[in-house]
Amino acid sequence: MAGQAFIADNITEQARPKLIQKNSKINEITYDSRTGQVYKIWLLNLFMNIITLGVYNFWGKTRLRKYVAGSFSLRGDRLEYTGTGKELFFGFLKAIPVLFGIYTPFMIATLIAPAAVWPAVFLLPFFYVIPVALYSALRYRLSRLQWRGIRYRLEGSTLKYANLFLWRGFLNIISLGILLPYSDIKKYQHKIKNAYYGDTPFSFSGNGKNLMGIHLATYAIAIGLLFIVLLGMQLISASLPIAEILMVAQGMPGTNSLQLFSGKPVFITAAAFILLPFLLFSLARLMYKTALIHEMINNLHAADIGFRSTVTTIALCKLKLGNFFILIGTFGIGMPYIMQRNLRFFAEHTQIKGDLKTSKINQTASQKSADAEGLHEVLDLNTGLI
Amino acid sequence: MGLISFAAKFYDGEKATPYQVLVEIYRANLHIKTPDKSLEKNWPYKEIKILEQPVPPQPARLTARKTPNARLYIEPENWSQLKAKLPKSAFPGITLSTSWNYLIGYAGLSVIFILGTVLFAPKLFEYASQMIPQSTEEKIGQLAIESSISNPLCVAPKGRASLEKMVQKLQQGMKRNIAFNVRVVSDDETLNALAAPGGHLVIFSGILKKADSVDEVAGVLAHEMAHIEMNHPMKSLTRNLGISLTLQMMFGNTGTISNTAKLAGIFNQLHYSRQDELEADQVGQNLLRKAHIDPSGLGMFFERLKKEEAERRSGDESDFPEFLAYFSTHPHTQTRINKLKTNEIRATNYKKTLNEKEWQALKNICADKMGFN
Repeated sequence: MAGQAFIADNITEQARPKLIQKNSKINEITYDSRTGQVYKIWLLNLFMNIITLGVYNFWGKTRLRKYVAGSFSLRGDRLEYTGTGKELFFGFLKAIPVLFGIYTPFMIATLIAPAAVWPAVFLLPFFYVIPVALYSALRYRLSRLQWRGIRYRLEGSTLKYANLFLWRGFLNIISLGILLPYSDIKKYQHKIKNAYYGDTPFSFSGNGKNLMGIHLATYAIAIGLLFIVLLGMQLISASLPIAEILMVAQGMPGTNSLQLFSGKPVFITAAAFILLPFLLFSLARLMYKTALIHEMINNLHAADIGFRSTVTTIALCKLKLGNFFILIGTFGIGMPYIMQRNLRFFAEHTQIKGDLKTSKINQTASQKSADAEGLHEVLDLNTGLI
Repeated sequence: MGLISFAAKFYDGEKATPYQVLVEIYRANLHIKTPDKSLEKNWPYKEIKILEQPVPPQPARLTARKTPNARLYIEPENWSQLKAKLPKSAFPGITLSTSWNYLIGYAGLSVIFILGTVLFAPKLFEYASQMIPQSTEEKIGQLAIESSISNPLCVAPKGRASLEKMVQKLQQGMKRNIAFNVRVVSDDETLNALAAPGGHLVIFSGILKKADSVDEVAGVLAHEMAHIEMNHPMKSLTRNLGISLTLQMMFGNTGTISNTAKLAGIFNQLHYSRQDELEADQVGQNLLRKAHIDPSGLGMFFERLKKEEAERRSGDESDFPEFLAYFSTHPHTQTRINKLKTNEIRATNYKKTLNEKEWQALKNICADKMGFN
């Protein structure tokens, strides 16, 4: 009996014989989820959350993750998400006393010594909540993701990541955003250095330095555009009294300046001076974003396998603009569609380099995942909040 | 024996090597082998665990209890042949169906839940306010007043005495025994008064300044005391908290949808807030009547408020449209005046709330001021 999986594999290879021959080392990621099914799961979650006052959320989220992860495949081998709703639920229960433990000392401090040093000291743990939650959520999700029966995992100290996250945030602020590329890359590097596929470590050879050119260029454009916006605002406030004086001179006293403001050329000019720079600014920053994605993906390796991104600024711009209009046009009902667009975009623009048939990656052995390891568990809040 | 077999994908869970295998269905077990027989596994049916049933085009995912990392992926079209062979224990727990019939059912149920929340939850949460001890209520009120008032207080002794006298008279008609703490705040521009939990009342001096007669002030005071009599501040606190918490739990952070729900929640809160106001108007009227004070004072004060509102909108005499009241914490002023008039009972045995001297002392209460704290 002919194997279905063999046939499927053969079809894809026959469909693109030229591509395969020319570039046998490029593998494309397939994302074959059906938007209808995503919508059904999303609607089920929406209704069940109403009925169960949100308790179903952990199970609903898991179901969506399972379906979406299972829709990704590489050369016929699908991803699998093995997380459960119960894990998320208990993670959430665990997070409550931790958050309470952070909040209570702060509340007591503000009551005993209002506006003093102590409340500020007890405020510090709040800064840690977001990076700790981000890293531990990533750790949880990777450990529940597998391909060809081998799990991914994320090692490393959550606290170290949080320190790095806060330190880079501080540097971003005092450097007025100039050091942003270094921060973006450093944080990414920390995650990659601790990420594994079975016993195969991921590695990263990128550098923030490579992004400084595009960053500073778009940063300069941003400052220039900000200047134009300020000029535009100046223009509005300056032109108003002049226009009013003209009106009065033409024998139209008592004209309300607010009425004059709307529907007049002054307004259109002002809108152009503010809106247009804003759009250009977003476009300029998308150029940086594109460069950042390329730096992150193209310098990522696992054994003899490499990665490549084909994202372009125009494509990213189309994606973001489309998402924006769907979001405001559908009052939130378009959310699953936006999710689909993002995932499809990722699959379309990410390629795997290397011969998967002979790669060393095939020899990757499973490794016990870092699940129940003391401190990790205490700080790893699989809250399902993120 | 006609052997059923089909191709599938197998991963041993130890190495990342994919195997294209042939699966053969036997009576009590599944035989898995590669064409060259370099790999052969026997999975008894009672050992098999279904991780996920197929959702086309995704395969069914199976594992064996003894080797929980191993995976057998079976394409949807081959699934039914195997499914029939597997014992009940192989199947995962409850999985909610996503078929449209069920979804419509869930949608109907959630509509019922939302309606239930809108209709019954407010009263339920109001009831919860009774479980809060008096001392806590007092603290909440103190905190609310402290955080919302920054102007100095008016504390001229004679004025205070007049105020106390008025409060005492009105208190005679009340069922709840409450130690009132009435403060006059120096703010001549504000025509307003507040009632906070724990019997904390605040009157802005604008009311004393603009009022034509002592009866108008008594009307305003009676309205605020009626809020306390009916426990409105605490009720609205537990009600608003309860409703917003329920909506947050129901809709979570689903972006625009949860924001829409929050907005609906705010409209719901406003609706109840307006109901409270109308109730306080009515109960206040009763308090005035029981204290033998002319109850038309409150209505007269509202007439003044209406004029003031109109003046603020640059001399435009027309009232603001009635439908806008749906966006407000208070009912439309004209509506309140009309309601008060219909409830008014003509009587003649009204006594002056305060004599002329006491009334003048109250008007001059801001002669002495002190900081709020």
